Amino acid sequence: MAEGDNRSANQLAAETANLEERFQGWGEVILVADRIIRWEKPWFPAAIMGVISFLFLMIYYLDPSVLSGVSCFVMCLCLADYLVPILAPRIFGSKIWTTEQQQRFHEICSNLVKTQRRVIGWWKRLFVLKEEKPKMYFMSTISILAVIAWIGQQVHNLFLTYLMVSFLLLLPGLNKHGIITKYVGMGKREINKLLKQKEKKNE
Amino acid sequence: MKPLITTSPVSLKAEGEWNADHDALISYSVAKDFPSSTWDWIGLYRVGFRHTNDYVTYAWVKDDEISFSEDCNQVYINADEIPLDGGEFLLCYHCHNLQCLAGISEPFQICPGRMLAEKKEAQEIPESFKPKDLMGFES
Repeated sequence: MAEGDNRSANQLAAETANLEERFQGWGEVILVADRIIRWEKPWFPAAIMGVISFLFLMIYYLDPSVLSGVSCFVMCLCLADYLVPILAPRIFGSKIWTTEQQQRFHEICSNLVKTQRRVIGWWKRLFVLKEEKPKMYFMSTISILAVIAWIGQQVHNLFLTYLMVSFLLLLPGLNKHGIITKYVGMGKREINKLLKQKEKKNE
Repeated sequence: MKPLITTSPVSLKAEGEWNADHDALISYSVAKDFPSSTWDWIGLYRVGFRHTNDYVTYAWVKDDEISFSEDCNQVYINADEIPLDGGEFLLCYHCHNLQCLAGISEPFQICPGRMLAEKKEAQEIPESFKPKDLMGFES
């Protein structure tokens, strides 16, 4: 079979390999960050909350405009993108990775690809819903956005951002310790019960 | 009365050995002109299930696609979602456009995961013998 005709390649493996190549210079930093956000030591969650709280207190104290804040943030990203691949080998040493480190890096890249696919999948499903059930789509999105707008009005802007960033950074650790799985599982079971009851009533 | 459909439009197969230690692979093929959608999913059910929503876990056919071709597509299920205790299971393809199960696989065995054996061993160790670090957390 000619190579051009063979579409049956492992797409997931190809995307993961592509991401691994792109993040090669960041490997050590990614592994260290992974150990921290997955709470390898019991004091890591407290350290994460401490750093986030310090950063947000600094932002609150300096009170930059939105444009200044966003520009500084992007500037930090650009600096990191340039400096990390240069400095990481000097800080961590140019040791060859162990099998365990390589495997963990591969798992991290694979999880990132899977998460990206999940997000794109939900985005596409939302547009299919828009075509199939436009009224339901319209009502759902307007209701959800209205609730979010109301929450945004009740809670202080910066505090809300602080809560969201904290939650996002604690999420991998909560997930690893089964807390998210437990409550998502409970939620799914309740939704299933409601759907079954609704079907019985319709019958 | 004759049935409208004599063969199921989707055929499913669980590939290889299934256990909770690694991601599992599902191969499926769909009939020509089958109305697939991004809302289609393949559910893992215990044998003897009674309702479409009684799945143990599921995979979206588009999100979790590993490979595709004219004859056969492949989808994965995350190792974390496979039941640790194993048992007899089967796969069902839920078609969103037809609002029904469009294909059912043959029953197959999922082996108990290695993590379950380690968990059971950990549970058998008395509390006083479990190693703890300086902070008093179990290591």
